[in-house]
Amino acid sequence: MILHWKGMTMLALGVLVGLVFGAIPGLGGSTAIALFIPLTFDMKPEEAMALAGGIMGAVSFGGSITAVLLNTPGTAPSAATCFDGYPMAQQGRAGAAIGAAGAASSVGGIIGVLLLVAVIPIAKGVILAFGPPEFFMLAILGLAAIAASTGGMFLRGLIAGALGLVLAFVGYDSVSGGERFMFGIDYFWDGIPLVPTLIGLFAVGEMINLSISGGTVARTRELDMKVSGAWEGVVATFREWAVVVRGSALGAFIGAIPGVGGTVAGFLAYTTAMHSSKDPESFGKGNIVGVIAPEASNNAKDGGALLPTLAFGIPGSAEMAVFLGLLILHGLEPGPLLLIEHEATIMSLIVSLTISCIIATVIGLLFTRWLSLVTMVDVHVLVPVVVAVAFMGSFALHNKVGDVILTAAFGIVGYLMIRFRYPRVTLVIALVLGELAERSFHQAMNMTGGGWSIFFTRGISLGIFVLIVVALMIPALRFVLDRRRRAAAAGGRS
Amino acid sequence: MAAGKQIFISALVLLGALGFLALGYELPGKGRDVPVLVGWIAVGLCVLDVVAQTPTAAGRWIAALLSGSASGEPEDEPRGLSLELKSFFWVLVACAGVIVFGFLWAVPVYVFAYMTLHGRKPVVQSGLTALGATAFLWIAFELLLEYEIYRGLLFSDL
Repeated sequence: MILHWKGMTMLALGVLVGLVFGAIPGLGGSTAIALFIPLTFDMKPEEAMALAGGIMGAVSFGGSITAVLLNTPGTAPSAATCFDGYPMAQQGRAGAAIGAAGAASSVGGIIGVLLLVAVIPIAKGVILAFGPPEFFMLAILGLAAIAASTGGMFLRGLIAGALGLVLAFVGYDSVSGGERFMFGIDYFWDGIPLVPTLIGLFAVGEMINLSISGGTVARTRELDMKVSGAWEGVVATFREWAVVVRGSALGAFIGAIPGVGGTVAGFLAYTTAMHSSKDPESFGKGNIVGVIAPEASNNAKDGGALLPTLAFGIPGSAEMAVFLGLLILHGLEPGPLLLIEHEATIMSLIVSLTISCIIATVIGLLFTRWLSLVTMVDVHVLVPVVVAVAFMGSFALHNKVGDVILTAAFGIVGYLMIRFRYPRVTLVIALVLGELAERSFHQAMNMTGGGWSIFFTRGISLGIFVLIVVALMIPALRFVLDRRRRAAAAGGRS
Repeated sequence: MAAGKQIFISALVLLGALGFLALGYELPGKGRDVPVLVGWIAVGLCVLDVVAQTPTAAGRWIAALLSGSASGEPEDEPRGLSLELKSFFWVLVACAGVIVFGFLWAVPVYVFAYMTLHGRKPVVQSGLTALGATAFLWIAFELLLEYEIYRGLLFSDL
């Protein structure tokens, strides 16, 4: 199906969209998928997967181009690429940096997908051992892990997660057979619709934020650098194959852990490459390995992140949460049976992701300067256009004016969450997981006639509970380590 | 961000959590169980958040422990309230315009008005962008995807 002309067209479109959205800071893969979900309504699931795979495979490289040329990472995971990519550009080696970024992204993405394909058969067996108590615990683990990964916003991450669960309760309740929190508004009968909410929180909320900050998206206007010599970067990537393989493995592993995310993968791969280099002092001054390592890791993480998303319905990032919205729209219920009952559709996604890694590199290298120009667009041109497209997309889903109103409302909520440091990603993930969590909870309670012991007497469930405790302790551990580090630094200075 | 504003926000969210908890107790039967559980957890978290914003020893300790950093929260860049309200206003105006007049009228007017009045862009640039955005929506949705673009309360039966 993916090799049919329609599938390839969707793939190519997804790659273009991913490159553009990846290049523009503040947009990224989650906004791209959220905006384009409505356009896939009439498509076959395989075509929608091709579009999504194209976006996911390309967005990282789009962010890397602006990281190298403008010292402005288009996506957070591309931040580590700035350290050596931008100095390389300043030395007149922008082409080599971008070539290395593209090649490393391609190879890293392919390795990530191969690892995913290798693990899926094992995951299928594991899934069948999971019951309602395990799925309830997994949902809580997903929320706790995501909240723990939100930098210094752990407490507010948990509060945002609770808000997401509150939103998930709205509508008809199949357990009690009654309506909850609808306030007489029939529009909420089927609950808070996910896709308009995502479009509001990510696309419109981000546009409000940009509208207030003003200016151009890129904060520099340095576009006079030469971008020739990409082939040198491609050759260097294959010469440093050990760095690529190590970075990819790190990225895939970290991507599979809900909440940890691409930013950590990129930085971890960078520091690992630096510490294992014979010339660590050259890092940060234009060492091409400093570009190769995080780039391989960034794209490999997508393959890893798909594992908990597809196997357990636990999205590990905002992008995966939005991607779940796409699956739901096409009748692909996320959860344990997705891999088993819709294997062909999932393979379409995996193939798309693989091919898009390669196509993104080729197209990105051809249109490097044009992609960078996108970041020069004034936000006051970008904002109204994106808002208009967002409203149109929301309406097009179900032809409901209520969806447009919801998108506008969540756009304001999304901005307020950015403003007051409540992570949107935990809200979204809680909204996605809320129904699964509640249903699993009631099923587990029915298994024991109302006792909570079932969550702690089943091995897998108990194991997941331990992981939840670990996740909740991560901020405290970070605080202790940070305090010791500061004390040591202060002691060293005195 | 000023401590007072932070406490105010946290207290507001706490009020919301308490309101949700109260509503949760009014639900019948098993439909109440999980909402009430989440409500209590939310109230507990919000109380911690309120305390974390106060300039007390307990507040500083909670804030540092739960942020994972011994140096506390980073400073926020100041944002003008009027600019924020204006940005909300534009989104709401766009939404209202779409509902009343439909996309084909509301989008060009909104884009043009936003760019000229809020963005202070030249009239020609604003006009061209407005027309281009509308054309894109029409071509992408009505021509290519065969969605009927909403005509608005004034011009349709919806």
